[in-house]
Amino acid sequence: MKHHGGLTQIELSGITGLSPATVSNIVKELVAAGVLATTMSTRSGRRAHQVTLARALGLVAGVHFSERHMRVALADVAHTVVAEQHMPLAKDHRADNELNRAAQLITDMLESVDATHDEILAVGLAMPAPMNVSSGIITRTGIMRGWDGVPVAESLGIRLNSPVYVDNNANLGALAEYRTGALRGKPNSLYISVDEGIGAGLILNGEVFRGHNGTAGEFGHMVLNEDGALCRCGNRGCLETLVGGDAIIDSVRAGRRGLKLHDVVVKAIGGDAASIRAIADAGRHLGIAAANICNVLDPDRIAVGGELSQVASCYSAQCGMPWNGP
Amino acid sequence: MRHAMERAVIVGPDRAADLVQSQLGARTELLGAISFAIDQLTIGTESTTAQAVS
Ligand SMILES: [Zn+2]
Repeated sequence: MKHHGGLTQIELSGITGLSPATVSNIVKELVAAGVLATTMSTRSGRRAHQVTLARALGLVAGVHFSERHMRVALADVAHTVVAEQHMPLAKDHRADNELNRAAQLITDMLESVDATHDEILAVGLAMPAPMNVSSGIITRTGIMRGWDGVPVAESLGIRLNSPVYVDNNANLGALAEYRTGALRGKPNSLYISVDEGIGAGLILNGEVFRGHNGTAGEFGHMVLNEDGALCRCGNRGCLETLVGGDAIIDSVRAGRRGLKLHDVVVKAIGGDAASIRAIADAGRHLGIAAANICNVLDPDRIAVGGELSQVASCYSAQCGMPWNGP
Repeated sequence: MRHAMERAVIVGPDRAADLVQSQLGARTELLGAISFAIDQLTIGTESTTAQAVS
């Protein structure tokens, strides 16, 4: 139930291998214990008992930091989002400020749903950097300068008085797309986040694959040209130096100060030739890099998210980023 | 992206991975953070339930 959010009793029977009668008895027992709740729903024209975790168990919070955005949400344990906020972040934001703001947003949202901090059971934190999941520290300095050496899970946990679990944002993107999105039913698949930074989350044999150090999927730091431009990670010629937000903005900046990646995307959708060209070039580099991953892992499906993926649905032909429907 | 990928994959364009857009959009990673938090919970009678199932 934790993984799936809501299931019918028939689906529970299929997943667990237990008989429908056994499932029905266990569900009744757990409803009586206040752990599960059931509602009537209609599936394929038939009425069925939909089973979820009981909302009264408590709340969880999700926090997602990206290079230029913060998103925060409260949800019940049945995965229903009950409050959500997002705000832009300054470039090169710093841990202390932003963790304070995230904690304040969560406090405000708790008030808005008439709840208290005591009701938060756990917080999930998505960070746009390779994370040491046990220490909660970014594993490579320089990738998010204002966050270097900060134990982010512990720091946010102290502010909220709740346990905080941190992981790389692309890993968590892969988890979400695999559970409820474009990668559902695809146990060997890949989620690529194409935003200011570039990352990938790997689903292998139905699990998020984190690798030996927890840093698997650092797609943006795949070296494509060892004599190329310096990357923020300290290496040269990473994919991100070709298709990251800064690279795309630099290639179309002429005379346009303060340009953001979002502006380039809007301009491309509006028909601006330089923006279309910059994104088409990025698409080509991304395709080559994705092929390299495919040659190693042979995934069934790749889902692309992040700011740049928005171009695809509006402007696929011109930008050379066509998609198959899921 | 698809064109460049298909040209470079060893299995050839016909057997290359599907390339699709994320279905959850700008909230994908936020929803993943929520799922990840729920995964960490030990809920109610979880250990008792495991015994009941086994
Ligand atoms: Zn790099």
